Amino acid sequence: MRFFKVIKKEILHLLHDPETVTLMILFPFLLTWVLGTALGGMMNGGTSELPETSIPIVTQGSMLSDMYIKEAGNAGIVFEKMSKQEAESGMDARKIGEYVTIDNNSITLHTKNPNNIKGLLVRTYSDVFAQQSNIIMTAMKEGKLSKALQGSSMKNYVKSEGIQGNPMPGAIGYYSIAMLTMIMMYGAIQTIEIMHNEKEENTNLRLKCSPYSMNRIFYAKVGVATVALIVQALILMLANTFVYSVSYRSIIAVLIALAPFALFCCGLGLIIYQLSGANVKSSRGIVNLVIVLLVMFGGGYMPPEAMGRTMRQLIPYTPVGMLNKGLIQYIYNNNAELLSKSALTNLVVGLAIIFVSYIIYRKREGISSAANS
Amino acid sequence: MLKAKGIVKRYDKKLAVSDISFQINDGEVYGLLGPNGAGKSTTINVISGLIKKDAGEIIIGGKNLDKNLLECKMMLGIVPQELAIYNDLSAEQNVSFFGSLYNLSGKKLEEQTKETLDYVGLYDRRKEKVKTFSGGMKRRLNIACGLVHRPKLLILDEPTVGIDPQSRNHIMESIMRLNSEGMTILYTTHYMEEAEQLCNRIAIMDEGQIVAQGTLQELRQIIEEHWFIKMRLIGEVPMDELRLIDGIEQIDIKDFNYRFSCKQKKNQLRDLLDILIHHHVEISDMSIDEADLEDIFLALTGKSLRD
Ligand SMILES: Nc1ncnc2c1ncn2[C@@H]1O[C@H](COP(=O)(O)OP(=O)(O)O)[C@@H](O)[C@H]1O
Ligand SMILES: [Mg+2]
Repeated sequence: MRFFKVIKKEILHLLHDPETVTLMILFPFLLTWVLGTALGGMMNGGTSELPETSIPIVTQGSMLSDMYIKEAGNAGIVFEKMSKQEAESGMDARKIGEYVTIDNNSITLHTKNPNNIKGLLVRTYSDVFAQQSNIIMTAMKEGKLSKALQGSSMKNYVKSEGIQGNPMPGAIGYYSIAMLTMIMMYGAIQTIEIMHNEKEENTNLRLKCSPYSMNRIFYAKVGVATVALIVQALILMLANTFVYSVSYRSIIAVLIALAPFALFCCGLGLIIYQLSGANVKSSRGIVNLVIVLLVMFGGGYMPPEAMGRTMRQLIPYTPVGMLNKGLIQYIYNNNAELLSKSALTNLVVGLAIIFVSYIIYRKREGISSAANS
Repeated sequence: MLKAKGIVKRYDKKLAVSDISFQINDGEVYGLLGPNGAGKSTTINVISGLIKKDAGEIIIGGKNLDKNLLECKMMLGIVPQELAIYNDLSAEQNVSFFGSLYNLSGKKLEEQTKETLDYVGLYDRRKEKVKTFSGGMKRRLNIACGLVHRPKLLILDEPTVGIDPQSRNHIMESIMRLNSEGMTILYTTHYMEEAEQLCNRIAIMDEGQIVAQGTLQELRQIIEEHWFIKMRLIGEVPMDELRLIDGIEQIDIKDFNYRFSCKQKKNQLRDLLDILIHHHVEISDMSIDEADLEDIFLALTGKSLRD
């Protein structure tokens, strides 16, 4: 009963600070758009910086594909029409590295080397194009723009194919994963704030004077911080699904895989806070730095294919990198192996650091278990 | 209600409280009076189980604090020196939450929350967030949060520091009302007026020690032998000669106002008048005063409470 009251109080704190909560969702949502279309913007505005990219395209010719080819000119991409046989033999003879096929249902990038910048440009452009044309076409069909923003069929529209024929995410698809895990990392800061609140308001005096157990206050805080993070992730995923039409394959499955990561993020905030001697300023600073590093080495800011070789090889060994890659493999290849491995690792590491934080917390608060049962 | 015996608390090498003992009877208001740094908060923190003491024994309501911590905590209500309330919650949410920590729930919690808020005069603003409150209102809420579970012993640590006179009066009245309804109160302050007005018995603390304790009357007796002659003097005052008078301990001068602190009733007044008349000093006003808490403190410690 009392535990429920403590949890309720923590939730009230979170809800009474709607700005932070909203930002936690809105920020990655907008960033997904910005980053997902950043390369598109570069193509429109900065053709002088980028050499014109020319790439073969296989098409039957339709209003849509004509539009696609014409718009690409503005973006610095020149498509050369080719027949399917020409393109395939060109690939076999290593005369061309990649080509695009377009029909009324999909745009597909065929490439030997999915990591090159050319492929990335095409994927990003295709994303933006598909998004725009989808909105326009649905709006034309239904006469309603609002509807167009929802039930779009873009999910499987843009596809790219690696050398093994594995589908890969488009730019927006990629960032809707990377930004999701990045913002979850900021749950570490949220956790520091939840922990620090009592010190800042002096209320830890009252809590300690009360007959209620300080241990349970700790559990309640960690629990609320973790669940809040999972809920924020869910809202962000739903927003991404409805607005950007990205697919997470199964939101529930992804959420289950993200729960241990949420625990890890909260644990990260906790342990840094406790190790810093409950100093909110320095722990926030350290956490910010750690997040930037983890996100960077996890490929959060830039897709792995746009990075150097060493970085690329490092990625799967960092917590965020492993999770991102695991999510991509699960969502796009229906292969949950790496994702499960990542979830398990996060669970173990998360629980371990929370346990250590708990020990330090007990020591600091001077709790003897006999006194506060 | 409370017995404290031989309490010692050290911070590193500094002795914050050194071997103090006192007893608070059921239904009284007991005052801890002393300047900043005297060790009042430390004493209170030890009693409320916030910090561990280095030696001594505390009995609350017949229970030993070390052995029955939970039971003792249930009997205590704490009003910390610093505000200890959630600014982003409403007044009602604050009071109700702290009530729930003391096992209150349901209708009872609701009722006591309302009653308490009414008591401190915040009922009408119970739904508002604390961050919109004035300093005085926050102080009152701070008291309400320690009061909601109806403690047997309410401990207030300088609850009137830095607030407007109106809120201060409100707080003093609330405390007197609580006491008249039977609540035992431990009150710390460095304002002697408050201690005089509020407390049945007072312990005077300085540098971690209780230098005297008792009722105001009893404390006065300690320095019964002290009395004060106040004079307004105009002319050339022969200070050197005045200082030599037997039994005059100290002379404080403010403008033309002279205050002679005298020890034991001797012939100080006659000697004073003799010298002044001999030097043709005009005495335009004169009075003889009893000691107040400030004087008692001064006499006991040689320091002023006010600094
Ligand atoms: N946490 C602490 N660490 C070290 N010294 C402290 C601490 N708290 C109080 N002190 C010292 O103990 C003495 C008593 O302080 P305190 O009990 O707060 O006095 P009061 O409440 O009467 O103003 C002071 O000299 C103060 O500097
Ligand atoms: Mg104090």
